[in-house]
Amino acid sequence: MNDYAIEINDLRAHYASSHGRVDALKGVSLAVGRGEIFGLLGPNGAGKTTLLSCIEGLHAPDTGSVKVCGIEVGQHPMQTKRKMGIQLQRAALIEGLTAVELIEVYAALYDCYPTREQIMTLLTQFQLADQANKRAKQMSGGQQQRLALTIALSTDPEIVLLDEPTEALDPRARRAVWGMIETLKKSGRTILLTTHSMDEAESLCGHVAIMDAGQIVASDTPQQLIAAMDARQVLKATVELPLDQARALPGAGQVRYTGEHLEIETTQPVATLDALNTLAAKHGRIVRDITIRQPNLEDVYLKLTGKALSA
Amino acid sequence: MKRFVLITRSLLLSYVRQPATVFWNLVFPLFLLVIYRLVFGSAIISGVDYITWVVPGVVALNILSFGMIGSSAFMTQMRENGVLRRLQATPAPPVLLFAAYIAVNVVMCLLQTAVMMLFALITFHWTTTLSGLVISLPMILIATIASVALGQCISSLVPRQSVALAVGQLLYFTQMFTTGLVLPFDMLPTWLQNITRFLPAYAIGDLVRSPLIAGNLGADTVRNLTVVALYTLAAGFLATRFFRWEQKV
Repeated sequence: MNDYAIEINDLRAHYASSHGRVDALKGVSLAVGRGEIFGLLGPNGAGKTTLLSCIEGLHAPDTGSVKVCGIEVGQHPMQTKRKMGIQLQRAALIEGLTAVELIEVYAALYDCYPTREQIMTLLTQFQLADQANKRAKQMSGGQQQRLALTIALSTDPEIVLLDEPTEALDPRARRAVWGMIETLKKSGRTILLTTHSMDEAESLCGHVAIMDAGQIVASDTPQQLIAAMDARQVLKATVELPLDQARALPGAGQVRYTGEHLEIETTQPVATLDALNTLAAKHGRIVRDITIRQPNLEDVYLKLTGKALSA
Repeated sequence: MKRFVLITRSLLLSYVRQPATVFWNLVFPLFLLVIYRLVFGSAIISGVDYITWVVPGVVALNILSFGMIGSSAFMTQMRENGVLRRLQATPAPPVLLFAAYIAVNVVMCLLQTAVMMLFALITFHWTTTLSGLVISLPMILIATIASVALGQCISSLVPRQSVALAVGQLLYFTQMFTTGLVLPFDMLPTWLQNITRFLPAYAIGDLVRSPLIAGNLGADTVRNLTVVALYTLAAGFLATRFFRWEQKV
């Protein structure tokens, strides 16, 4: 049996937009192991959704290969679609149908016919049992997202593809969905999700591929990606200072403003902080809200691309 | 078969649960019929009273309205909402999805035709012969297929639901008054008659009207069927050629 649930080799793809041709994927290669949660992390426009579309058989790539469980997607689209449960970026539910009816019809599209009891068990698992007879358009955005996830799982797929599963959800709903995704992993499914949330990638994913401008710039476990930052810590403070002078502080590496907060990567946090206080005093300013934290995936992205992930 | 039935049932439920669909396809045509009856009273047209003459025309109009406005807007809405793309991602063969969609359209058209005829029978004592009813049924099915093809052509060519509605309504209302469906064709100037007699609504109206009034197929049946077939094939070709599962970016 093939070790990889998904294998992608030198994938290139484009699409036509109102602004002309967009080269969305420029030679992407990756492999998703069976039973892992694999994250594609990158900002809007990085190519994450296009990559997912190629795996789902919705978008024909220009060159390269995509295999699901060892089967080439382009040659056997129906066979590969059967192995995957998917949640698109938008819930895309038929609004006039109830939760139960939606699960019935989408499962039928996969030639699966769950009983009413099985549907209610699934809805209960995703805290939607009280919404069973409610129409999709009467549900909140968070409920629709959870219902879309429920539908993706109604056919008991080996592989689950989630495109921005917690987009536009409040923190409570987001954590609820994270819990559901972790439960899926425990059941042995392979999960590939896209996200532009560093928190989501760090919390959920055993492996993360960072995407930017149609290419994968790094791929490893979150811990390894962060360790490659050369153990730089991040000093964060609220103070208004010229960036070029902040960059000249002892031990300082990457320096940027995130909103009103100054963030300085440093190998000598104590020395950098002392010098920062001195610099601030010279400009008649006070340094407030000081924190020193370990580097995260946002810092990794910034180092690799020169851009902020949340920009 | 089970899968086909489930998909058809779901699409049908989704359709009838839209209040606007129920109003425009089931209630509004009855309202139109009442208005026409009030305006034209007991006028005699082509040797029959107005109600006997106009009911088949309103049946044909209703079918055209459903296909060119309702059905085209529904498909465009599903594309805009991402539902079509979601369906594309499933292993269900596209032909199964389209067959279910056509089945829903046929069921809806037959339902609204039955409601229209029952209303006319009860309210205005409209009658027709049994043979006329039987002969009109395949004509109504042909009209439905043609109307849906025209509607899907609109849906494939326009970018948004609002545009689909506008184009569908323009085509519908233009043909409503110029093809002899609710106003006698002879009232139109000759130059206009020479143009509009080649529109699909004219052919469909004649195909439905002849059996329901005379109890048999009219003298122009072959001509009308040819016109309808040509429009159906052309619209169907364009609908298929330009069909998109998702919105253009």
